[in-house]
Amino acid sequence: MVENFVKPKISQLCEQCHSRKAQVKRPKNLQKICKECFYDVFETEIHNTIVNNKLFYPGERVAVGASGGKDSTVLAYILKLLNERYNYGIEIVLLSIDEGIIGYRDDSLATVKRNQQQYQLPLEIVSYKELYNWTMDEIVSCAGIRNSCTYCGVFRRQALDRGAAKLEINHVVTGHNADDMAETVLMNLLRGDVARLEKSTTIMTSSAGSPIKRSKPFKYSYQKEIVLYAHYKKLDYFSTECSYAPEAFRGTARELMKNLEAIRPSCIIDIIHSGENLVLKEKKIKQQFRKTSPKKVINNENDKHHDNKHNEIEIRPDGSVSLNKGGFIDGNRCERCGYLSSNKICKACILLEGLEANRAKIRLDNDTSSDGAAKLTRTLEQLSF
Amino acid sequence: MSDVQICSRCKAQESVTVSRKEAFCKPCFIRFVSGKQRKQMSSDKFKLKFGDNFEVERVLFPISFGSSSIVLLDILISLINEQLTNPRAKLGFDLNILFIDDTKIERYENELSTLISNLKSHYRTEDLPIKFTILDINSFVSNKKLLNKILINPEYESFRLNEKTEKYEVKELLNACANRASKHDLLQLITKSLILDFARANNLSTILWGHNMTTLAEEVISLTVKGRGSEIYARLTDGEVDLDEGYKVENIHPLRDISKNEIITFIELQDLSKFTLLPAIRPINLMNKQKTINEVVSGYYEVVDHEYDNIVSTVVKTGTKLAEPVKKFHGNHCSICSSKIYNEPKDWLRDITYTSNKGPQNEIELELFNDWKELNQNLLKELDNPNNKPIDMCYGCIVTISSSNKAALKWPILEERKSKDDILAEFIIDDEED
Amino acid sequence: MPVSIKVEFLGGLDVIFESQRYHKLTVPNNEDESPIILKNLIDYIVNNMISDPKDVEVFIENDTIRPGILTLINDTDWELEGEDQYELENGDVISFTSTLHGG
Repeated sequence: MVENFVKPKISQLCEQCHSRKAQVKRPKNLQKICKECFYDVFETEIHNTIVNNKLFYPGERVAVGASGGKDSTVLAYILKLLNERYNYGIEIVLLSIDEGIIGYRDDSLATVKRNQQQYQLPLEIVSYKELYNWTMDEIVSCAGIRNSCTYCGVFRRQALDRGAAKLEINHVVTGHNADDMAETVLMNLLRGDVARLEKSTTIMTSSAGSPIKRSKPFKYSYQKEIVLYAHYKKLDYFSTECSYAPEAFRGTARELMKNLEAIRPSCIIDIIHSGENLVLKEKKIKQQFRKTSPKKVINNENDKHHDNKHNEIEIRPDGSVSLNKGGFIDGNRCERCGYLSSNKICKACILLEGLEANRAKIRLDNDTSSDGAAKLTRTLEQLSF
Repeated sequence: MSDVQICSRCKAQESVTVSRKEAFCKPCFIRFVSGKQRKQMSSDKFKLKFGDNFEVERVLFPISFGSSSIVLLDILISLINEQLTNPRAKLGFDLNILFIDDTKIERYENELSTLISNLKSHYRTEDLPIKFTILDINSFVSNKKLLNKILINPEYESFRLNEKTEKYEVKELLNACANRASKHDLLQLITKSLILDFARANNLSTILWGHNMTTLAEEVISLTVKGRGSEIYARLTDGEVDLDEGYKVENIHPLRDISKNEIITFIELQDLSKFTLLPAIRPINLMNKQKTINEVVSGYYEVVDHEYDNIVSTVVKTGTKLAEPVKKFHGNHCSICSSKIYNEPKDWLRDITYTSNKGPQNEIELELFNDWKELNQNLLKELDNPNNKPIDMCYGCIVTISSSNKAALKWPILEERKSKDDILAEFIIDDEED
Repeated sequence: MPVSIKVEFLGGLDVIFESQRYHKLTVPNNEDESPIILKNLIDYIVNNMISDPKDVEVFIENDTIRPGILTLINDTDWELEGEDQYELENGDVISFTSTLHGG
């Protein structure tokens, strides 16, 4: 482009500055814009999201959940940039979780370590092994691959909390983008997750059972634009799928969304707009129990029939957990591990108990993965009642 | 080979189909489906009336000649025939069937007139107290309404500009759409608006919708995808819905518990396929990009329903649990589709969409900018035209219209909100009274 | 004339190309002498560069680049360049980036 500049046609010009060649087609509004305007728009929209939703306060210490993947890499880069440009006055720390997945997490952690150097940000790594004495690889060999996302979700959520607590930080920001949000809205409708329907698009959450708040500055940022930004800025990110493939049903929802997006790219923010307007009728949800079915069960998500029995707990694949309606009771601690929990025993400890029971078996017989998974499914089913 | 399965209901006849893991003979299956309809229409107002002192419920049944509405028609006619056998009582309700004739826009493999004459002779409709109306979809762009050019500026504010047009048809109106998906969205809006106006003009206080469980589930996800999540409650809730300034209609979905597969079985068993309109375009033959949002969602259910339990019924149940997001309503109605506007869409969009001000930065860029400006003066003028009148638009319509060719979209809008007389005056009805 | 270009497989897409991200290649002439377009390159990649036939569906769906893969022509969104009808020129850089892999 430098050597022989070809004057673009008027129809090729950026629809914002009308003076440079358009290079990006924005999925949000189908506008064609140039690289220069794209940087400005992408960065300013995230800044506006942060300001409009009052995500940070001056002097706040913020942990970026850093996986080495595209979203969290761009997030770390952009938060640092905006913090300097607009003087948020926040202190940014990278917080990574080492799940113990060989060939996946060890490589991505190397990326995070490079990011630490590139962006000059402090980095804290917390591992499943040190927290739970189990690596994800060990968990999968014990419990089978089917429930890997369930375990990993529960453990990661607590690990992020524990990591943040260790750093004395009570705000974790994550790289969830608009595509993730839209997918969650569709997933909640498809599996009838009424309990989470209204809250699924909330940008900042402080969930029951955790004193640490979470926020998603990329709530309105398209995956496509995040990838483009990383590409143009030549950001160093890691891009290999987790060795344990995502839950099959989520895969179908993702496929559906990609097909819809090909027809109407704005559909991702359209779904978020819809999600923000979903309100439940004020009616008590009838308590009913799921009958066991010979077909596949959509994870353990379908059985959310809360009552207020003390020990009722429901674990979701992303690690959030439904607890007693009273929400987080300050000061309550898990009887086993001593970690903050509004239940007697925290969800991670309940899962660990199931795992420990199976560990002995594994030593006797190497081929117990299916048995382990089946047993775990039963354990999980019991848990939700 | 395998033993003949006996119907699990009557335990006498041979079964012809299996549904919900139960074997049915033909009469028991028909009774099972009709039973679901009876349950949804169990209110006294549909029952036989005795004596002289009663009000007859005026019911509208819009049909599309798709499988689902033909099944409901079959069930309703058998209900009426059953009620007519009681000589001492009067029919419980007054049935008005409405078809919005879109055959000038959508292509079908068979002839509407043939279907109607088949239908009339099969059910002997001339002996039945049913009123049948065919309304040309072009009555949507009748003379009484003013055609407007619709504009949306970069700040997401919408305007209308009066257009003098000789003759304009829905077909031309749809030409502005970028793809089949947007065209279908506008057609849905037009059809729905005609149905509601017709109900209002004829004092019909109950509407029976032909949707089955699968098509309702399709609507829940499709509305969400189109940015119309706030409308799900109105689409899914059975009962009274306040349409407009105190004008109320009761919605009922008699087939809401019946799945698409059960509809297909019913059609086969009763041999009703000769009454259905067959669209010339089948989604299965289309590339993904040519499909409508509804077709993609419907294809999705077909795939996942085999593998996962109860997705369709779960989605319908969830949709039924939704309420109107009243807190987000500030009194404005959409000028295009008349629905209530929640969560002021232009503010919402402005908050999440930034327009760069990184203008020309060197000689070459400035030159290009000036070239552009010269060429686009008309466009700039159009947006600044003092005759542009601001209008309110809901999020869903902003989406549909933004994805169309903005310079060409025209839409009929009344100067004032409609009165009942306006609506009555609009109808040039091709009446087919039996 | 055959065209010589650079092709990049990013965002994890390199796994189906023997973990090789950057490739220099020459797309041969079309038999009917018609201009060489991006569609010809896609066919060339499918026929010559994906070693495991099972991997084709990672790259292609319904005869075009799979939704979720971002295609850039000299850093410009291919949607602005006529998608697979774009006429290739010597020295072009075509990049394919998967947007789907973990965040």
